[in-house]
Amino acid sequence: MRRNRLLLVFLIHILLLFTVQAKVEFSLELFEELASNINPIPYIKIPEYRKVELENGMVFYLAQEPDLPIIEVVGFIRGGMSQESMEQAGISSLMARLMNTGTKNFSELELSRYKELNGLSFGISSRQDYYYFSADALSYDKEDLFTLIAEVLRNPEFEGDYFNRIIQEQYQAIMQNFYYDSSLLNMYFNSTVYGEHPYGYSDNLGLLITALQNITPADVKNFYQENIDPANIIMAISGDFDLSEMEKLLREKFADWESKGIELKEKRVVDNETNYNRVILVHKPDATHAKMKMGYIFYDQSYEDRVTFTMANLIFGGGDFSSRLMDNLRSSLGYVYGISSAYQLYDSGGLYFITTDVAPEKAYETREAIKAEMLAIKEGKKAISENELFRIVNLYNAFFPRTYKEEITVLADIMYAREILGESDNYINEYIEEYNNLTAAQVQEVFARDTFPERFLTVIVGRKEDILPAFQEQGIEVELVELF
Amino acid sequence: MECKSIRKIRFLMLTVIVLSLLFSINSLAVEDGSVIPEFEYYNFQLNNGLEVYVFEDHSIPLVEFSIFYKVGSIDEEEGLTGISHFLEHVMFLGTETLPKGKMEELIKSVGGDYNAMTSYDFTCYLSVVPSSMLELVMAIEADRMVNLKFDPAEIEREREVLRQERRSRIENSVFMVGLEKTQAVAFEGSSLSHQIVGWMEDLNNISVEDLQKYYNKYYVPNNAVMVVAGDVEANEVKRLAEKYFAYESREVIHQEFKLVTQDEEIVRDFELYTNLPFVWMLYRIPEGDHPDIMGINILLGILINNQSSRVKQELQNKEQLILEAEAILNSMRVPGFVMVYYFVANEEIMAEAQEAFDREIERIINEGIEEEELQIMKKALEKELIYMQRDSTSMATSIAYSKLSYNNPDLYKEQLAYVKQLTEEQLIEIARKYFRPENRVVGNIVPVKE
Repeated sequence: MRRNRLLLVFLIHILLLFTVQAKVEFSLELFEELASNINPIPYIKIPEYRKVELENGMVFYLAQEPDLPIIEVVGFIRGGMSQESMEQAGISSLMARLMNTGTKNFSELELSRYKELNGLSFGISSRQDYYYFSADALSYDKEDLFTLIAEVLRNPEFEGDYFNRIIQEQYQAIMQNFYYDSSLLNMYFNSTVYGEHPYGYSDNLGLLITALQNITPADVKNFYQENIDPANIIMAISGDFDLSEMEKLLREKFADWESKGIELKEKRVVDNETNYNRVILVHKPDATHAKMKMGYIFYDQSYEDRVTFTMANLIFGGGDFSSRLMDNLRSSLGYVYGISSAYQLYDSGGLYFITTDVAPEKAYETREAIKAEMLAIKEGKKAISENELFRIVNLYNAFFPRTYKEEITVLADIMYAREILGESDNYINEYIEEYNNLTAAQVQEVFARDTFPERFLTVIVGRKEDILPAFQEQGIEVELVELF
Repeated sequence: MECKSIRKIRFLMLTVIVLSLLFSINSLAVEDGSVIPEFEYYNFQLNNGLEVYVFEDHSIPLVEFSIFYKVGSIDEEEGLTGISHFLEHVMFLGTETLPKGKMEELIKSVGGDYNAMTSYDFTCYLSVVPSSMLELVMAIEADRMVNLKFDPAEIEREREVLRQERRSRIENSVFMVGLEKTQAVAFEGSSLSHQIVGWMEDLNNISVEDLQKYYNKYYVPNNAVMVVAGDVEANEVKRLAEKYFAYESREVIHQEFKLVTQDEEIVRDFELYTNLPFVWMLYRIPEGDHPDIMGINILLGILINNQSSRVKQELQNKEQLILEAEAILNSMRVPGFVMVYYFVANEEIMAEAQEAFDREIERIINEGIEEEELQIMKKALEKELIYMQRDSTSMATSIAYSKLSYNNPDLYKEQLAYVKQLTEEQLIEIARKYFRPENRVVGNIVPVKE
């Protein structure tokens, strides 16, 4: 009897063992079998929208999305940083902040309370070639939302009692930025690479400080009058609303805003060859690592091979864990925590750059390794493969639908493509089609043609004692900046 | 092996609660047509204790798969600070079956993406893949739950990446160094005294054996919650969970959390490379499932975080004593803390700013809260609830975390019910209870004098 009981216990134990063990034996073959997947080419549904253009030139794209009681707005105002003068560096950002602080009909506190009591979000910032604004609210608060947007855009008050306080806050924030390595990095990189072009002003802390001390409320008001005009504004609105009611509301809020026919200035970026291969080291005595940025002037907004180059850059270093730069400098060499390459296309000239945080004594080796990786592709020694391209295309095909999950994103992109870039309504799907039709040879060719490792301007922020010796050993000239 | 039956949980995404919440405090009118749609999820548990939550959302053909382990930096012993985060990195260095880099290659090859994060009280691994590839990520995650490889050479190389991450995120940010120093004083002798990345000395010393031991202790099915959100069917998730995760459970005993009682205010000055002086204040608060947590959060909005908050209006805009201020709630499964910081224009006015800050708390205690201040918080909550429904993943994460940390996936419901009945008197009591000087540690960060 006792023996039977033991046998039973043993059997139960065996059974339990079987039930608690995973049923699968893992093997590489199993994983590879599970991983056979080619994502279908996505198609992004273009929402039905109504385009409304007021007599003053202000343009609206309206699309209904009744699923949730939400209303969302994205807008662009042409101009931005590109319109600044050196004497008034930073004025476009200052103006945007002041616009969102107080208006002729709302004091600073009243404006804050109005937003918060009605659940209204609104933000506006200055970018290189335009101002970007976004707003949202629950749809039953739409009247309040557009009252707010109209107030901020049409009736800003620059002479409010907050002006001096905000100037003082900006001043203190800029001074504090001298102690942040990323601010120093951007200051020396952008102001050097852009020279005297306004694109470089917003990171130039010294220039900003000087300008800020001289900017008056009247200057900001003048800048506003010279730059903000209904004819330069486009606005996408998506959400739970009736199209005709919305159009009526927009006309009520904006139709009587008269356009003065503003003409924006245009100044081309100059590619200064003396920056090629230049190395600047900003000594920061308390730094325990080095922050590095390498780059050069790139093509402007009209760059035709942007889709092909985007794919090439993603393979090279576009922020992905499996990019070549990440694979080599983090996974193989262990020099960096993160590294990414990117490009930006602006109206007057673009930028290509690589940023990384690196162990300071490895700064020189990292710089060389980045250039070597780029050259290896450029010279075809490690040419871009079909497999690498497939991986990126397959990833894009999977993620494009998620990027465009919210209707406001699709609508704002269509609006931007049509009104700013002069593209078609189907711009997003044409983009998808273009990258799906690329071959590795085409991507390789564009990367080889449009990358310039010999032009790299390198700026490093860190302790000179850790960084300089390796450069000196190699006989590389380094311009040392000592701020502290 | 059998699973418990799938439990389908349906809740009206709280139209009733939101509306009654509004009417209970004030009479904010809500227009017709503001119906909030239904939101539903499925939950089941494997016999080994692994909890699974499935949130179906068929709008796009993607799925987010995440697995949360109940282990974070509060579980670390002295000398092993940063080990939870270190192990998170090791989880990407390969298994006995998948060599280093192969996991990434597989996920990328199918058009997927992945990441991970370590927190004070959990570690999470997340993959986003085309929904047809759910089995692949479940197999990968199941494999590394038990078969992780500890290659000493790879771990040494990864150690350098971690050092670099610490330098980048903490050491080269005066703001974070200020917090690290203040936190070390505030929670001395506790596992809350260090940042999640750990001390550099410990990063240098954590051994392969330490990592292995930690992995074996905490990476077991009964210490995990799996969340699958996206274009999937709950039954298919159940089938795959049974197939891949039928591992043996093991008892997990978390390290006892110690916290020395504080009965007086602690103030420390730290000289650092900064132009502007700034202040970190850390106030102790209870565990994240304590009823007071929502009240604390609401109070922080009224006091500091709203644009029209008292601190911003009085200290920043009117008196111009401070330049910027924010409060961050750090709630977790053990007693947590609120972090408040503000920048001041110069050292001379630091004491005045501190007095003014304390005066605003006193004003709340003595004079109460305005009706408008309450309305603002209700409106923010109403909006947040509606926005949460756009993204099933955020709701999924919230529910899974509540299950993992508090064994209470319905915590958010309780919190909403609490907010619904929250009164001005309760908020005043919360201010009195938690925001008193004896319950905080102040770190004054001032420029170096040299």
